[in-house]
Amino acid sequence: MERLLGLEMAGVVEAMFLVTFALALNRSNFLDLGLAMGLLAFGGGLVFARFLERWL
Amino acid sequence: MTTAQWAIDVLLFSSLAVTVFSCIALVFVSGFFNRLHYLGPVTSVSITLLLAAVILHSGWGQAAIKTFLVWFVLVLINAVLTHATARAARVRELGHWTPDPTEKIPGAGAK
Repeated sequence: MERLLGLEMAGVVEAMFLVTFALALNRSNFLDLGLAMGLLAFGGGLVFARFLERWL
Repeated sequence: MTTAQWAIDVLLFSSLAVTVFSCIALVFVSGFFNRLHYLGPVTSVSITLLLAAVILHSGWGQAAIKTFLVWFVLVLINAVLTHATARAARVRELGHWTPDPTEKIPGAGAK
């Protein structure tokens, strides 16, 4: 379960990193990547949590 | 260096400091449920400071709106994710989610 926590933290930090990267390079299309990363981190974390709860 | 640039630097550095502190705490704090708390500062304080920095840097434009969407996703959705993770950990540990009448919850009901 600790590894799932690490995955969730990594997803959040990566989304924030992409936003900062877009700010630093003045490329607003990278902000879409940050948004996608935030959404995917949520979906992935939720699926993993359900999987660990029910089957492992 | 202008005042706005100085403020942006302070906001970004504060955001980074909160994130680094939370990551270090996540590694060194013992106990799963104690560690779970350290997702909170990153998904509330840190991302809000980052949003403020983006608004100061770019003004109310496309970048600010997109960053606001990222903020919305992280703040609102991560509470759900944290709850789901805690629930999964409890079910794995005890086999059920609902509390037993005889269960002793640390810190609750102590007289």
